[in-house]
Amino acid sequence: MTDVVLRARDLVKVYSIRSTRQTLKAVAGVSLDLHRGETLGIVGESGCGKSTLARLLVRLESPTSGTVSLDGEDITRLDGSKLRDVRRSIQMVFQDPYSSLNPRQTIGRTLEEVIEVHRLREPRERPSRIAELLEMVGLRPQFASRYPHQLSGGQRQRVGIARALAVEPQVLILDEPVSALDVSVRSGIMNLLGHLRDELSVSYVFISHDLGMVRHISDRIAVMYLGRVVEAGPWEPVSDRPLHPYTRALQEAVPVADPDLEATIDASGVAGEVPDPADPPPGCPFHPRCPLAEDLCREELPPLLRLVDDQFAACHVAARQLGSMSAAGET
Amino acid sequence: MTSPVLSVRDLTTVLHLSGGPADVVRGVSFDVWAGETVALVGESGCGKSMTMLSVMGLHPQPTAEIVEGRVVFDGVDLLQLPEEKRRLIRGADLAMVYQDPMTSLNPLMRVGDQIGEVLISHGHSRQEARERALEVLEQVGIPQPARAVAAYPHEFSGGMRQRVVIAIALALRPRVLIADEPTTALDVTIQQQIIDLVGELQTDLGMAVVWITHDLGVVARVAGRMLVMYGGHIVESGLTREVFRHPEHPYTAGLLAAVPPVRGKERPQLVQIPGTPPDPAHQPSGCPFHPRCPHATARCAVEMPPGTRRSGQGEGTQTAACWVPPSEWVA
Repeated sequence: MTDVVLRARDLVKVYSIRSTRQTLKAVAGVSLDLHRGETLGIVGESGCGKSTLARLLVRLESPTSGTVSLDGEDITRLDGSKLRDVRRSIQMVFQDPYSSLNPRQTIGRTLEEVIEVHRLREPRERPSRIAELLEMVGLRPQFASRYPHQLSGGQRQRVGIARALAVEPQVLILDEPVSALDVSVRSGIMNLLGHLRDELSVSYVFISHDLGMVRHISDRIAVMYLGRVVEAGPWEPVSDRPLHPYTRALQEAVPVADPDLEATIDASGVAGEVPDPADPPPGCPFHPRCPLAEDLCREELPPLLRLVDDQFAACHVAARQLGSMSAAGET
Repeated sequence: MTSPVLSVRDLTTVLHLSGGPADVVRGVSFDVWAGETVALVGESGCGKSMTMLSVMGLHPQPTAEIVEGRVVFDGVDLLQLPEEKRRLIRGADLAMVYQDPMTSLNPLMRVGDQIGEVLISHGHSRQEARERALEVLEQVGIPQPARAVAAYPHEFSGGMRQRVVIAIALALRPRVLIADEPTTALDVTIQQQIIDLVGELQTDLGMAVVWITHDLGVVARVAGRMLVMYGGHIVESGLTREVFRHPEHPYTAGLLAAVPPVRGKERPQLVQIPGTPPDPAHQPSGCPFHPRCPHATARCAVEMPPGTRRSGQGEGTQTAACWVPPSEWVA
């Protein structure tokens, strides 16, 4: 028996762009393990493939190649009722709950529908289950009779979470769940997510462009760039002592809400922009923007290697430097 | 003693909506000094954008109406000027950059012509306009400016488009640049590039920048001074490092405690501010923050505190609109 609840191996998703007859590798070979009760943070900027990865993990889309398995069972090619069973186990929470809630349906009806579809409760038990779900996410039972437009952004996101939890999933995929919220409301949702994870022992994949939020909630963090994981490991070293130059650039670029600390940060920044995923550079995808790039980086894709303890990075320069360090340590 | 370049007094703007009037800007006063960066911070609906649109005279009329106040630029009250004179000051002395560059660019017009249009409307010749367009595009770091002048906005990336918008704003060498969430739609590494760019241009041109943002990290990174807005009022102001070190208004204190730390092993439970920011059409009585404030007294519900309480701490740069000093806050 393994404690890995969700496993992805070599996931690739290729889209073809009709107008230009190009192909675009949105996800270019991602492998990851999500352990039971764990929060895996995935951080990256636009176009890095994190949202596509989320859709592959919940099977909203099928990968071009690679596999996804749940509790050791390959779910990559399931369809019909088998796929519906999988959906019960893996639920998704979206950035904008407004667009994912039916505006003509009360909150109660929205939740009831999910319970109905998955035949989870006897009809007479449903109202109490709805009240229970609302309470779980910090909303009064009276919210069941309200419509989405009568709710604030934070309340709508709570409903989005309640709907995902209605089927008692093992895994929640949270795609930018707090990005649309005001600062004062965001912290409430972050606290709620932390609390629910501990209470229900559900596992999270927390996807965000915001390194601050990812490091706050995650046990482990994977950093994505142009369809690949370029760094991964426990939250604290990855966010505070990154090995990959891209993670370092990301960390320095995030402004810190602390003027004293800000004064000590050398935010020299990183030049250039993310390359077109339909026309990625050869070698390491980050090399055109990387201050450390050398000839090898322009030619050869660096593999994701374990460099320090449980910290992995896909960087030729870091691999050489840290490799030589441990070699020196052995003598 | 020099005088501020921009001085706003008792600015009050009302939105005439179908459901009745909404008090969006409620007696706002502040100064902007030559060459400084001051941040205007607040959450959605707090009135920060409408304040600066009113200063610019770009508030959507007749829906929005300035019912009171003075906007003194260079000793002249802009609100008393005829629109024609105000238009000349706008762009030439006061310029504004918005969050979404696409909304301020004409998609059907070449970038060079859009920069030129601003110059020609302020009395420059076509020849001068062409030369200056090239010059500012180069100044904002657009690669191959000679080619860029002939390109359309959609041919640029989001970050490059924001550079174009900044180029237009800078064409006439304004003395005050109002930047309304100019980096919110951008990735953090691109945000850092824009922050660096504005900083460099500011040093070169000696212009003042009013940076509107909801992001306290951005405030700490760019602004020497900050103004915190809530419910249409400036509730706190002062040197950024002073305000961060010892906030004098419970709302500022709550905002700061809602942001997770970005370094170190500690991951404290985030402080939540209960409730949501007020709807401008239904502002609470008294202090707009009192329904969410843990320290509110009976007086807070009926009487708006003046924004003049001075801090006894630090360098004494802070003012706060609060009846309850921090020494009396409940633990």
